[in-house]
Amino acid sequence: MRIIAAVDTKSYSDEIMDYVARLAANTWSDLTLLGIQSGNTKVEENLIQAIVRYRNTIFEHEEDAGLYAPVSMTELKETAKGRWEVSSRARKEFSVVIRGGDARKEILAEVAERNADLVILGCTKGIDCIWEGEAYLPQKIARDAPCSVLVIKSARKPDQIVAFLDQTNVSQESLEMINQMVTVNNAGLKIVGLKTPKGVKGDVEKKMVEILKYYNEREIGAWIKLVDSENLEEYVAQSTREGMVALWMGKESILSKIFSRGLIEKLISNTQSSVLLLR
Amino acid sequence: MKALLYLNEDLASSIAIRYADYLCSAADVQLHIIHIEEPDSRQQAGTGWVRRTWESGMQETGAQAVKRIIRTENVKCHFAGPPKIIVGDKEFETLRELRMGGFDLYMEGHIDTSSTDDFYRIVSSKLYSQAPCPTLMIKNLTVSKTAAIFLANAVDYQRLVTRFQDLFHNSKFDADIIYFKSSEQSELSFMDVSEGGSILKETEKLLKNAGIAVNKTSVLCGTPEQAGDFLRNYAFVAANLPVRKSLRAEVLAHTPASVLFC
Amino acid sequence: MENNKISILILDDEPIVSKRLKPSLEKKGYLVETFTESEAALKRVKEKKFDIVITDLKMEGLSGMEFLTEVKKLYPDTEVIVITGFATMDTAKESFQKGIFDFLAKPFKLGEITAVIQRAEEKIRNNSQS
Repeated sequence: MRIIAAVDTKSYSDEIMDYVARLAANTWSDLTLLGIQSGNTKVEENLIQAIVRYRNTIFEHEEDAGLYAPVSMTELKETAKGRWEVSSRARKEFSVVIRGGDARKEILAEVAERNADLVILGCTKGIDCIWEGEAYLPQKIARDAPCSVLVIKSARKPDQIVAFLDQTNVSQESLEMINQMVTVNNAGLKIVGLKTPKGVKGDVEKKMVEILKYYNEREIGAWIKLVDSENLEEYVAQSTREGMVALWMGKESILSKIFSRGLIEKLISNTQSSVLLLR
Repeated sequence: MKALLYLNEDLASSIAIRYADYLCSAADVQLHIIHIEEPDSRQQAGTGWVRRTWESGMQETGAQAVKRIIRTENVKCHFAGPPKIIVGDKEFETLRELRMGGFDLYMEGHIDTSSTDDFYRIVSSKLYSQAPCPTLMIKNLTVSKTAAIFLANAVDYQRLVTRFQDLFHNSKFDADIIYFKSSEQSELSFMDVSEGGSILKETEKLLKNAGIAVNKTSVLCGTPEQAGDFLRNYAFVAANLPVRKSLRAEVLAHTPASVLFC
Repeated sequence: MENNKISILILDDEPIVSKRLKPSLEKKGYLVETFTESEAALKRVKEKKFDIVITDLKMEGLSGMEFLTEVKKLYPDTEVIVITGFATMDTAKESFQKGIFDFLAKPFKLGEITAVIQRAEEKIRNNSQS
């Protein structure tokens, strides 16, 4: 698995690092710390200092397993205009990449370059979710990235992952991503289906039961629940207080029609914990 | 115990049969299967051989459906005899079978919904309110071997424990005693066990006398949604059948765990 | 190695994994056999030595950990790659203690596992030359 943790110098980036470190160490992932800065002529000193702190947290969590080899910030090399990188490989690859410019563009470019499976980023706790001075950036990344995205607003370890399913377009990769989240958090999984006045789509109900059996056979606590579409917003709000909220994004999703404005944007804005967008 | 499992060719039944399979691995269960083919009003056939032919056709359809679900779910437990396929009214025929067959437990699947109306409709049905034995509403699968004995103010704990122990005294299940107190707060909290009163000690004593291990006793304080969610990890929640709308009943409506009505 | 071709056994209880991997690896010239049940895979391993074994960990019956232990006992120089949907630090450490070549958490891209297989192949070819 390849993880990119997008970071800046703010405290919310500090706060997600324990989670990133734990996830990376448990999944033995190739990990990239992607530092974003506004200028693209030279690496900014305060970003370097922050990344050194984050790197140290990562190395503390790997429990001498020989997962990553140390990297030194003095070895950062400019690989393209406004992009610097230093990498090492022990059992897995550890990279620090710094990119200067528009945060959204730069994060998405690195995701494409690395062919990442997951992007993780934190943000301020308010509705606008400011990241590196820009409002709604996590929402934009979540909307536009080709892979799964985890936005962490509260670093509290979730004891439950509430996954909403309203269409059958569930990729194998997304199921596997949920597996890892359940395992690393030692959390239960609640699979929530939507009941419209016309009932639940038969194939969606079938998919829910399939997923339930999949987890039960692996002795993992999972539950299915049907929620009335008219109570959905309230249920989502309640779920974000309980744990991590996960959404399977698909073209046929009716969730986006139920929410009055952009689903992802609204979900991330209103969440008090973490949101995982699955692709 | 002699248990009757209702099967239909639907997803609730596919969960129920797997759950029953799990129950058989943890308790001494003699499992019987029943399926009722309910004709709609337009389908009512005439009399004599016409009716008999029509009924046997419906029975055959039902038998095939049950066969398919048993084959699909590939369960390991043994069934005590072939599935019983009856044509008629589901509640009436099931109740008759429970009474005539001397069953100790009735089980059926219900996909968990967040609707308390759905829940009240089911528990106030003739089948649940007149069943001569405990009924198990299977909402989800489980990997647990601990049951929650669910108590609250004015609960008939003696009836609850007696019926629970009759079913599970020689099983692999142990129990937690959970007392619910309603409160509007942002997070579920735990209170001192003395807040539950003497009923907690009495229940614990009864269970221990019956040889059922009690792991822990807790007093939960929160909303029905919070308490229901807390109960999710239990194999099932054993409770008195609610006879009227109450916050205690709402906990049972909201929990994703299966509920054993004693 | 048969005709200088690397043989690979894939064991994963989810058929989709083998379905994704097999054609791509065969296209690259590997000889691939796939299994969804660990007992059947173990039976095959007892009949035939594979150069590389790719196994899931969490499976019904014989677990992936037990399976890879058996493989390494029979053929210490077979390179084992663990793929798992339920990774933990402990299972990774235990796998490496048993001498596996690499540990990959799902999801992974085809390119990622292909790169690991190529590194294992290099090691096997270097060992056979020395």
